[in-house]
Amino acid sequence: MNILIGVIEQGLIYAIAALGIYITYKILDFPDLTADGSFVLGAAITSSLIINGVNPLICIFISGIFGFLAGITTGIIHVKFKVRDLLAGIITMMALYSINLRIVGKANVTLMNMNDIFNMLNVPVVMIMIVIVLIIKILLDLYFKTKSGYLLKAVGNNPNVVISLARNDGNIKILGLAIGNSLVAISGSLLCQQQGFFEITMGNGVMVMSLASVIIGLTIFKNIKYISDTTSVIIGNILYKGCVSLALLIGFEASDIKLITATLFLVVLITSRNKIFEIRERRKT
Amino acid sequence: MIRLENVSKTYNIGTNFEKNVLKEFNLSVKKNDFVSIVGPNGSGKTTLFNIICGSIDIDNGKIFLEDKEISKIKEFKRYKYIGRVHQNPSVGTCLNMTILENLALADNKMKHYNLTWGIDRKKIDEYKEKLKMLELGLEEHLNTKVQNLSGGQQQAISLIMATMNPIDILILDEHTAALDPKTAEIIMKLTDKIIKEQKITTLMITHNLKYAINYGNRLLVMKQGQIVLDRKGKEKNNTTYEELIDKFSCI
Ligand SMILES: Nc1ncnc2c1ncn2[C@@H]1O[C@H](COP(=O)(O)OP(=O)(O)OP(=O)(O)O)[C@@H](O)[C@H]1O
Ligand SMILES: [Mg+2]
Repeated sequence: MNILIGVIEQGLIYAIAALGIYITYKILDFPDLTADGSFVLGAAITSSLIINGVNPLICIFISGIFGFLAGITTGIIHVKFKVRDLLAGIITMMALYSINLRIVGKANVTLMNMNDIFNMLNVPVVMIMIVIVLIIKILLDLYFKTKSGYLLKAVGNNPNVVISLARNDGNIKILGLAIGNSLVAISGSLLCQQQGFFEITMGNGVMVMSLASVIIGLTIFKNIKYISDTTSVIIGNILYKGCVSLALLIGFEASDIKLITATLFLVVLITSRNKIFEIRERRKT
Repeated sequence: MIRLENVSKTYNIGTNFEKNVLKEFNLSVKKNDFVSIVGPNGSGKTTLFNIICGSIDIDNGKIFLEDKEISKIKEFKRYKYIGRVHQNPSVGTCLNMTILENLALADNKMKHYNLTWGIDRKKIDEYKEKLKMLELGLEEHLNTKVQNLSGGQQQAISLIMATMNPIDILILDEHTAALDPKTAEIIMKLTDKIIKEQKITTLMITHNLKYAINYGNRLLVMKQGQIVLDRKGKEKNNTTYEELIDKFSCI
């Protein structure tokens, strides 16, 4: 039971990052590796602010703002300087590693005995996370129904349409990357509050894990009409976390997690026939 | 209205695939002209349109829109005045989105893309009216994703989207090529009606010589990047099918 609750807790926290990756990868068609850096950025900002006594709720907002800026950075590198999408993300991610170390001052910090949103209220972590994830999901669903949301969907689908609407397609791409990375940073902020410490490596593999759960979720619920994409992504993430803890239960070591993730990701890619990179290559030719 | 002065375009400069398409090209189109352009494959028609719209850069020369030079103005800014239907049907619509979403997106071109609802329910009847004019029955499938439509149906929706807002210039690149003969006829008549009603200056590429003769007030034949025949007004009305075929086959 405890394990199950743990899985759901973790799944919900990482689900916010997965929603960010859903925006960059699925809507914008942009494999954005900034995520590994902006996740830690959210955590870094949160831990240094919490140590300085700032209200944890405000920390989440500020993390989101900085994630937004990280996304803009990658967007500008890609759109204005014409650097390929994968490379643009890697450049920002690299830069963020040093920036994050600067923000916190060292590679590990404990937040034990500090205020965080989970011990501020006398409510189980799962309940708080359900509320937060629901709010974000509903806001996103509403956004995708607005004019701005339509334009975002259009730019990933067919930038020509956006251009013929006399809009700068590059700027809209940047906006999408910014929204995606602000969600990833919020996810990082929540994780460091929940686990009570900051680690410079805590973002390693976030992009791949989130992408795996985005694809798991969307593939499973592809043919069910009344489940929105955002819901699919959230459930996909919980299922993904479930698979990993199952692997640990049956005797794998914590150090095997990366191998398990890589294998799981590969299996998901092959079975979902969502061959991202092939589709992208085909589109270019 | 549109003027091209000594425009040159070479693709892949400095490589083995270097291809000079336009050389010192000149063209002047008057306001409210409806120009049909015909010419063999690879004669540079689409290249000409891409140059006017700013989809590709030019090597030399100048482009004017109502005496304002636009050669350096970005593509997306030029579309404030231009509506375009592409040769490739899938370029004009968002395939992942529904017909309704595509139309709503296009309908908002002159306004802001803000945080208000993307679809204005009050306008659905208006959209249906527009789709009815296509006579393809698409008005019954507003919530179908465009990717589930045929190329011809996508092309027809592109035309609606391109002409939904007031524009000065309409650019049509074989916009009936993907359609069956009967639908092509309907869409061509509809195009002509829209152009006349809204008084839009139009450039239309077509491989249908009959359309080139029957529609518009000016006819251009392009060959290897050059205009080899230019007929206006009365002269144009007297141009015959045989004459055009002749122009095609001579060097
Ligand atoms: N992006 C490009 N790169 C290199 N060469 C190109 C490119 N686009 C067109 N060309 C070449 O320029 C020439 C003119 O092409 P364009 O597309 O303008 O022809 P077109 O008159 O529209 O032909 P069609 O009737 O087949 O559509 C062709 O020889 C083509 O090979
Ligand atoms: Mg062409």
